[in-house]
Amino acid sequence: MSVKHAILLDADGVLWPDKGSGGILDGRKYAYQSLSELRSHFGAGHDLFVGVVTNQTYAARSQIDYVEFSKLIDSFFHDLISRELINDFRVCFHHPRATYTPLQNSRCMCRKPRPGMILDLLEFHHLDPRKTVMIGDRITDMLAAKMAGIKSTILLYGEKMFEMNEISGIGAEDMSIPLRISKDLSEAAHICLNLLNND
Amino acid sequence: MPLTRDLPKPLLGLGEDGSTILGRLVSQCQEFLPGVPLYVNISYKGEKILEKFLGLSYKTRPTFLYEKELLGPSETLKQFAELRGGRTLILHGDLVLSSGGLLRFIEAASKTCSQMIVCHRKNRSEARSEVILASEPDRMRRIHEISPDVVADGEKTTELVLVSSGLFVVDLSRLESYTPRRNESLSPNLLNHINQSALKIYVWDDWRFAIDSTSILEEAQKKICEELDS
Repeated sequence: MSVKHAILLDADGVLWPDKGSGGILDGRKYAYQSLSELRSHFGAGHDLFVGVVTNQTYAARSQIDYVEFSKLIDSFFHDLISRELINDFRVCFHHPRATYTPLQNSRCMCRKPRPGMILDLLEFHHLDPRKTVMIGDRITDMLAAKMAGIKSTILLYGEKMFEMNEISGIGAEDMSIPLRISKDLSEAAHICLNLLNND
Repeated sequence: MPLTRDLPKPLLGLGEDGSTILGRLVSQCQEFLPGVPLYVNISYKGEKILEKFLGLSYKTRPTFLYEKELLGPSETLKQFAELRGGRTLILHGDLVLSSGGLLRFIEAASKTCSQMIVCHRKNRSEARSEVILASEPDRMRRIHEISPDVVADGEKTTELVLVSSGLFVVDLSRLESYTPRRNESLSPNLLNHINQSALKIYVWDDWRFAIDSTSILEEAQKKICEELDS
């Protein structure tokens, strides 16, 4: 049975400040607070799915061992699940010019702005894209959501909002999106609540 | 030493021929959009920009809008919107753009009625001035009547910092009912007000620099040399 509403979140720049690849290693303390505040906007009785979809290129850039990094990520997000702050997550470790060659991939469907991670969560949890909101800090997140059929998107205002991920094969110049900009996650949660309650 | 201690960023040199960031933008706009009026909003060390450009003939000289008091990007756009509406191409004055890339963007913009935002690969754009290019010459008469080349004069103001892609096409009519706060940047409120309809995404797929360091300026100079050689 599907949940009533869903929010999908980017991680860097949304759950914690974007400090470049590897920011997740310092993100735990921010994530607890960000997600608790997000949840508090909806109240305990609200049937809400919270998922995270994130590109993580720290290992692709050979800045950390891939196996070690993937274990860290897994443990990090499962901790958030056990605290009932999120329900599930998807991570893309690829990069088109990865120096760690096993992660070199310019055609994967998971790396945003491609929609693979979002589609996977929607399908696996039977989420309704019409009752789902994507919150991200880059136009890349908005494009990925649009390609996955999610109409409601919120872009967090910041210096990277118009920065695109390096990826080929996206005809983004042909795409139109309704842009809804929020100054921070707290305001975004407020907007989400209105959007989802008026669906 | 800061790049802009003596000169405003748009006047930083790009080559031995004396060309500047702003000079290149103006030339590109005049070449790719002939006959379309060009407005340049200036503040920081704006008098130096005027000195540089007022020597040009009237036909090749853009109209300068001098902010005597720091208005902030929102108020700047708002005041410009009061003089005209319609789709307007806005470029930050610290951009050094591939000519081919800019031409392709202008061609794409001319084929749609949508507002367009340019997404880029990396690095934010900081800007200390903006070039505002009106796409509907007839609607510009009023601003011509009330503003000669220099709208106001005054002391230099502090720096503006914009957060955006540096290039976008917006419908300024949407700002008619907007009241910005003092020194308001391109805030979420402003952007939401402008972008009430679907926004077209254009991915800039050529070289492009927002100049904020000597090394980036040198990279841009190198690319321009390559462009001239090819």
